[in-house]
This record gives sequence, C-alpha cells and structure tokens, in this order.
Amino acid sequence: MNIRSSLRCLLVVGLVSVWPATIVATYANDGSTDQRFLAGLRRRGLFELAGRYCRDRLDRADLPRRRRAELVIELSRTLAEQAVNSAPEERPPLWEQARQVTDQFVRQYPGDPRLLLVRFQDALGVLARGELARQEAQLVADNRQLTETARTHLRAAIQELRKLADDVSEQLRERSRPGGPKTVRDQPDQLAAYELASLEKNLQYQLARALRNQGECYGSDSPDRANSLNQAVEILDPLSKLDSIDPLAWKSRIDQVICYRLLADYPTARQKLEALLQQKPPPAIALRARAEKIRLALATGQLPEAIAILSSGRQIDGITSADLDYAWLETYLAAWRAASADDAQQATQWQTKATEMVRLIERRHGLYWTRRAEMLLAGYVRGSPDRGDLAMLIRAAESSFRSGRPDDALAAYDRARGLAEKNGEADRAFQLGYVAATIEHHRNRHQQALARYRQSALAAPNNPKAPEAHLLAIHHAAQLARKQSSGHLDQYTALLQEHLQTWPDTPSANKVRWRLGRLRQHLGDWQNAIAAYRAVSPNDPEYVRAVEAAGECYRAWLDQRKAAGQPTEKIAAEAAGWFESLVLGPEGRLPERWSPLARQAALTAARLRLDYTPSGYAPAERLLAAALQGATDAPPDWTSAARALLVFSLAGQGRRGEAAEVLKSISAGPPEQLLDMLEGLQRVAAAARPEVRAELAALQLHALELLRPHQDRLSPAAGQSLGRIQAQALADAGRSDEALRQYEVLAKASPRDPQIQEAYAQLLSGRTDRTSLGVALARWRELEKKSAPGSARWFRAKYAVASLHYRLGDHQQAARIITLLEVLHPEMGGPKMKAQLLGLLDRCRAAEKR
Amino acid sequence: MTPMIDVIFLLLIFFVCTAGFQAAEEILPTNLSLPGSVSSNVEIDLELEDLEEIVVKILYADGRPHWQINQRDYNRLAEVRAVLSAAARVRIDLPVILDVEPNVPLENLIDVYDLCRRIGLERVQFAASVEP
Amino acid sequence: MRVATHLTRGSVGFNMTPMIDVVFLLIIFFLVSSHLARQEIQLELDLPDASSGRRIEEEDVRRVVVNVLPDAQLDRQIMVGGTLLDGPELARMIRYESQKSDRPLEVRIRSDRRVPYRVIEPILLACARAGVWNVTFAVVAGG
Repeated sequence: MNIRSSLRCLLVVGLVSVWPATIVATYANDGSTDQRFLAGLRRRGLFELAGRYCRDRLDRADLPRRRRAELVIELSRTLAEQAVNSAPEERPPLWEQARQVTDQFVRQYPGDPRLLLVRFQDALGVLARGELARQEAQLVADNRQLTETARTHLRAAIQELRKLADDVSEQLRERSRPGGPKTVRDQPDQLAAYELASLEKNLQYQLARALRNQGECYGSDSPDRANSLNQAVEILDPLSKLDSIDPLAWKSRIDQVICYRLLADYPTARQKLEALLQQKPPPAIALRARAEKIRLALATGQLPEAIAILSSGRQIDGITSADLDYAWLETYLAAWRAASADDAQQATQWQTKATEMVRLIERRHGLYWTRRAEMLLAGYVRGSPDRGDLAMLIRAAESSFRSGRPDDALAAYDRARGLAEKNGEADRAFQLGYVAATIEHHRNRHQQALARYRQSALAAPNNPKAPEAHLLAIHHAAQLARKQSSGHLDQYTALLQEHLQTWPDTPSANKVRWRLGRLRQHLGDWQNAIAAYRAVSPNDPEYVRAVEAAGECYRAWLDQRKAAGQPTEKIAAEAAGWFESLVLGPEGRLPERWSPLARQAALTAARLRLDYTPSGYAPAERLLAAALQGATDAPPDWTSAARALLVFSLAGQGRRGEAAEVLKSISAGPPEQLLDMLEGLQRVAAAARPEVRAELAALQLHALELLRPHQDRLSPAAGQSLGRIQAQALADAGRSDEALRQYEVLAKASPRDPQIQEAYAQLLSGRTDRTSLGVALARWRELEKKSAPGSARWFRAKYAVASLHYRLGDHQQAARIITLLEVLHPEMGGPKMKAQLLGLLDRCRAAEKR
Repeated sequence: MTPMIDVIFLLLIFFVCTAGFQAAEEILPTNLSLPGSVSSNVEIDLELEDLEEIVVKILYADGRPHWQINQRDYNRLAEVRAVLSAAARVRIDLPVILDVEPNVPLENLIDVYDLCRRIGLERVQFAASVEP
Repeated sequence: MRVATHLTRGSVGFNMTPMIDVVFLLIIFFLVSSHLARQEIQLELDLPDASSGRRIEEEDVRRVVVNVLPDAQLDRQIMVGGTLLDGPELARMIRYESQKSDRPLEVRIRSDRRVPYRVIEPILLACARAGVWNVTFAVVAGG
C-alpha cells in the first residue's frame, strides 16, 4: 500500500511537472509550425484562409507577446501577397490593412524587442507595393502616374529600411559594448546577437532590392538611375561574398548580375554571370541565371543567342521557374517583332508560340505572373498596330479590360474585329463588335455604346443576334433622348425607323413599333402613333396594351379635333370599325369566349361611337349588349363600365324605360355595383351633350332612389360619393335649389375636397341674384387660395373670380386681374383657357369704355 | 503780405484733404417687414388679395443669376424688368416678395431691388424662413 | 559807454503776424479733426451699384454701420466698428443698440457686392427680431 501510494504520488508529481513543460514546448514550437502552415496556404493562393487564421489567433487576449509579434508579421505578409495577386481595384484596401496591422502593433507595444521585425515587415510591404507599381509602369503606355506612385513608395521603403538598418546596428553596438547585455540568458525575450546580425543582412539585401527598383523607375540616361543602381551594387558586394550556405548569398549574386545589366554594363554582367554558373548554384538559382542570360542576350540585341538558350529547356531537376518562363515569353515576342518585318510565316509561328506561353504561365504560375505576361503581350500588340493574329488580339483585349484599362481593350477589340472582317469571318466580327459594345454599355457611355451596337448590327444584318444588338442601341438612344434635347430625339426616331426597315418581321420589330407608338403618342403625333400601334402584329404579347394605347390615341386625337371644331364622325366610325373587327375576328362572328382583348376592343369601339358620332347609340348598344351577355368572367370594373355605357346608349336613344330596367337589374345585386355604375354614369355624363345629360341625371336620381333603402349598408366613403353624385344629378336635372342645399351640406362637411368645392362654386355662379354671386365670389376666392398656382383649377378659379367681378359691375378689377395674370403666366393655362380669359378681358374693356 | 499767402496756402491744403476721393456713397432704404413681425395691423385689402402676389425668386448657378417669377423661369434681367413693369402698370402698389437663394451675391439682389424701385414698386419685402 | 535806455521805448512792440498764423493753424486743425471724426473711417469695400439710390443725408438719427467683408477672416465676415462679429454677437449688439435709447436706430449694411445672401440674411433677421425697421443698403451710383 505504501509503495503504491508513493508510486501514485510520484506519477502525479511527474505528470504535473511534465505537463507545463509540454505546454511551453507546444507554444515554443507552435511558432515555426504556424509559419510553415501559413507559407503553404500562401503558396496555394489561399490568402483569405491564412488571413482569417492569423486574425483568429490574434483576437485571443492571452497570447504571449512573442507569438503576437510573429502572427502580426505573418498577417501583414499574407495581406501584402494577397494584394500583389489581386486585380488593381482590389489592391488599395489590402495594402492599407497590411500597414494598419503593423502600425497597430507598433503603437500598442513600442518597447517590444520584436518591434524591429514588425517594422521590417511593414517596410517590405511598402517595397512590394512599389515594385508592383514599377513593373506595371514598365508595361503600360501612359505610365506617368504609375511611375510616380512607384517612386513614392520606393522612396518611403528605402527611408524605412535605412532607419531600421541604423537601429539594428545601434542595437548590435550596444550588445558588443563592455557591460551591456551579452547573452540570451540575461534578457530572455530580447533578440539574440546572431538574430540581429541575420536581420541586418536581410535588411541590406532588401535595401539593395529597393534601390534597384528605384533605379528602374528612371529613364536609361538619367543620372538617378545610375546612382541608385550603383548604390545597390555596392550594398550587394559584401553579401555576395558570403558563404554559399547562406541563402542570401546566391540571391545577392543574381541581383548583382541584374544590376549590372540594368546599368547597361554588359561585359561585367556577363563576367559575373559566368562566375556564378561556375560555382554550381542550386536549381532555383540556376534557372534564374538562365533567365538572366536570355535577358542579357536580348538586351545586347543578340536574338539568335537568346533563342539558342531556349533549347536548354525550361526545367532543371523537375523544377520550373516563373521567371524563366517569363523570359521565354520575352524572347518569343522579340522574335516575333523581328520576324514580322520580313518573314510573315515565321512571324505567325512565333506568335502562336507566344500565345501558348501565356496560356502555360496562366496554368502554372498564378495570378501575379499571368497578369504580367498578359500586360507584356498587350503592350507588344499595341505597339505594332498592323500585326497580330486574332487570338493574340483577343487575349490582349481581355487582359487590358481585366487590368482596368477599357480604352486599350476597346482599341484591341476594334483591331480584332477589323482582322476578322478581312478574313471574312463575319460572325466572329459581329461577336467581337458586340463584346466591345457591351464594355461601353457597362460604362454607361450611351452615345458610344449606341454607335457600336448599331454598327455591329448593320454590318451583319443576317446574324440572328443582330436585331437584339440594334434594340440595345435603341435602348441607349432612349436614355439619351430622355434628356429631351431635340438632336437626341431625332436620332432615336431615326434608329426606330431603321430597325423597322431592316428587320420588319422579327419579334423585336414589334417592340420597336410599340416604342415608336409611345414616342409619337408622347409627342402628340396621334395619327402616326395610331399607325405604329396598329402595325404591331397580333402575336406579340404586348398586343393588348398596344390596342389600349391605340384607343387612347384615338380619343386624344378626336378630342383635339372636337375642340378645334373639326368633324370627327368619319374617323371615329373607321376606328370603331377596326376595333369591332378585332372583336369579331376573321370570320366576322361574335366570339363565344371573350378574351380580354375582345372586351377591351368592344368597350373602346362603343366609347368611340357614343362620344364622337351623332348616331352612334344604336350600334354601341348592340355591341355592348352582346358583350355583356358573352363576357361572363370579366372583371367587375369592366362590367360596370360596360353597363354604364349601355345605360348611356339607351338613354341617348330615349329608351328611358329600358335604361331603368338595366338599372333595376343592377340594383338587384349588391349596392356597391350600383354605386360603381352610378360613378360610371357620372363620368360618361360629364362628357355628354346637355340634353343627354338631363336624361342621364333623371336616371341617376332614379338609381339613387333605388339605392336609398340600402344606404346604411355602404361605407362612409361610399356614402360621401353618393352625396356628391346626387348633388350633381340634381344640378344637371335642373333642380338647382335642392342641388344648392345639398352642396352646402357637402361643402361644409368636406372643406378640403376640391371637386365638391368647385362644383358648389360653379352652381352658385350659375345663379343670378347678388347674394348668391357674393357667396360664389367668396367660395372661388377660397378655392384659388387653396389650389396650387399654375394648375388648371387655379386658372378656372381666377377666371371665375374675374367673371364674377364683371357681372357684379366691377369691370376695372376684372380687367386688372386678367392683365396681371397675362403678365405673370403668359400661356394662361392652355389655349382654351387663354381664349376664354382674353374674351372676358375684351368684354371688360368694352364695358369700361361705355 | 506773406502771412496772407500762408493763410491761403493752408486753406487750400485743408480743402484738398477733406475733399476725399471716394465715390459718393448712396443708400437704398428697405422696409423690413417680415411675416410674423410685431404690429402687423395691416388690413387685408380684398382687391389686392384677388391680384396674386409677385414672388421673385433669385437663384445663382454656373456663375450667372437666374430669376423665377411665380415659378416661371427667366434668364435675363431685361425680361424680369418687362414683367415687373407690366405688373406695375396694372397696379402700382402690388407687393413684391424677394426670395433669395443663399448663394446669390448681393449685387444681384441689389439689381432686382433697384429695378423694383426704378419701376415704382415700393412695397418690396424679403422672404425669410423664420426659424424658431 | 552807451547804455541802452529801455525807458525811451514806450509800448512793448511785438510782431502780430505770427499770432495770426498760429490762430489760423489752430482753426484749421480743429475743423479738419472734427470733420474726420464725424465721418467714420470707412472700410474699403466694393459696394454694389444701383441707380435709384438716395444721397446720404446726415440726419439726426443713430446709426450702426455693419460692414460685410468679401472673405471670411477667422470664420467671421461681419465687422462693426472695427471688430469682427459672428451671428449671435451681431444680434445681441443690434438688440442692445435698439434698446439703448428712444431715438430710432438706423442700421446701414455696407457690403461687398460679391457677398452671398446667406451672410446678409442673418443681419436682416437680427434687425427684424430687434424691431429695427430702418435698414439701408449702401450702394454706389451707377448700374
């Protein structure tokens, strides 16, 4: 027992002592596993995941400081790499975030020993941004802004790096001072001396890299270039002499070769390159060395030599290098440019190889290299305006569009289209033109999009998508025409007519006809609008609306003619005939099943006959009776409208008894229906001639009598409208005293209802005694105050006030009112109103003279 | 004799100094009466009520002033003058309300005000949104 | 030895002419200084022009001259008597001035012609609120 308990104790003690050690160990090892994990994610392009991983860990409050620093560095690095691999418009926020993360750490823990590392990562981020800007600037035509951006960032990076180098050397000096902290044991969290030394070397390398990039930002004969590059070479010198085990050694040797090449000091560059190759570099470096050899050859203009190097292959020990592939692409493009001057066949061969290479880079090496390759290609294509095959041009166009340069893309698409047309591929040409037009469409540049769509459509009229393209052009023209300038309106009309001429039978033609009809209707050109609407084919889904719109146009036109005093009978008869033909169909029989179209057409035909022809009551009545009988599943508002018209037609023929019958049949149903019918009758009566109106008023009163027993079943709003109808009917029927009493009640009940107030005032003005006229004047004055100035009602109120003044004998005041109105509102509410007002003015002036 | 010359010299200097070189300043009086101001015991003249009040709105855009009289646009001061003269012929004591946009320079406001005074419309008021 | 005999001279003969000069100088000095003091030192401003302006009559009326500068200095554009004021301060000053005495107060607005109306409107509002109805605009003849 004793031994067992003591063994147990020992076990527990052992575990307890081992456990924290394992934790510490995991924490200690976690750093490097994290870094490897994140590096792997970054290599696969899973930047979002890596970023989230870092942020999750950083959110933990109990993180030891050392790990926090490491994670901040990793996060900043991930963000920077993500920015490098994104599209140009997505980059700026990522760069900002990368800086923010490091800035936050610097602000929160200014005394942390790892501060130098965090600041180093920050500077590296800025350097990466500058380098990317520099690379893009070298490949783009209009690169002033990009070069400036590059220079700014590189300058900032160089400054930061120099400051860091100073800080690091100061820390190193402190370590080596007698009496300063010597070993790690004294300050366990500080960076060890060897760590500082390696940081210093790294700093120098990156500084050289920044200086090299800065040199590349300047032109080849600028002294700044030579200055920066020479500085870079100087800094790289001690690094290149390091032992080959140090990874920086090889990289700095290659970089030195690059610097000499950029300085145009080709002999020294070659010499250094040879020396490097003799020292048997590792495969990655060897590949880069090969790329440098190619570039040297291209720089010295020795194209055959460069091509010869290509034959030594793309890989060493199964490893490929993106840099080398890029150098291969450069060679192909240079060869193409040289060959296309004299040998066309060779040129096409090189071209194909170059396009292939771009595709390979896209497959193998990720977004960053793909973009560089595409931009290089686009640059070459742009630089040689009369060369290039179709695939290359399309690729160049796409890459330009993706990197946010739509104008270059459009130029490339245009050239591609020209080429396709020359080769006779009309469909291809159409497609390319369409894509180019879509770019303009998305940029909302209506005029350009319009021109492009139209051009594509007219160049290939037999292409099945051509009518669509033309329709899109029309859509853009409509957008422009909305601005109401006459030039754009003409253009729109011309486009519509062009469409109809070129493609008269396609479904889009009906849409165009509909648009044309709408346009003409908007402009008040009724006849042409009607012609357009009637031309819409019956198969179009919009046919019903077109017929409706045609009906509206007819009514507006006939109203206009009536107001001008022109005869309306013939046109109305013809129109009604057409609508009836729609109802009767090709066989000339009444349909058994009434479609919405037939119902609509019947109603319109009846209305036209009733309103605009003197003897239209009988045929309208027949049609309406048939329609009401046949259309059993019609919506209720149609039925009530039809019934109202039927009653009207019967009343117009003097068959009051039958009209009353119809009324009774309606009143047998729910009271709401009777109310609807009454309101329909009201609307119809408002447009009718006076004698018919009297008949209708009698009928309305009859209907009201029928409704009275059910009045309490109606809603208050319905009761109100009923009161209104009754008052109006009484007035129409000539029982003006009763009407007046009714109106008084109504007006007091609803002081805000303009229609009631106006009707009341109208009725009062119809009387002849001075008291009524005085009351009328007061009412009209109120109405004028409450109406919006410039509205039709306001003008009517003004006219009424002036005419009342005239009738009460105050001619001067009436004249004054009208003159002031003319001065302030020259159009005076429309030609009808104007005529009335001016007529009154003349009468006032005549009265004054007397 | 010499003292007299001194005296005349001094008087000359005095008059030169006090003459001044500034252009003669004049003043434009206004009758400030804003809606809701104290003591508005003005009787409502019904006849004047029938004639609508003239609201001249002065706007400023693209470096040029624009005018609106009762919601009708005018682009030239001459047109505004024609309208106001015609209105003044109807009745000379019509009230004119000036509604000025905040960004209108003072000289445009003075132009319109001066115009009204020249035509003879004396009752010019400034519209203001009186905030509590 | 000849001794100058003062006793032979009767009256003290002193020269009057310098006295006349001194008197005239004093008169002129006082005239000029009072004239200048009456006219306040006016700020140089580009006043708007109008053709229906009235001549300035130096009536017996209390006057407050509100100058409006063309550009804002320290966020303020209104200057009265050499001091820059902002909205509330101006309202307070006008109210104080109007209540100080029974005599009617005239507020003269001397503003540069380019000043936008949004700077002038508070002045008019402040005058209306304080009950000052005699507001004039300073203009130059022309237009």
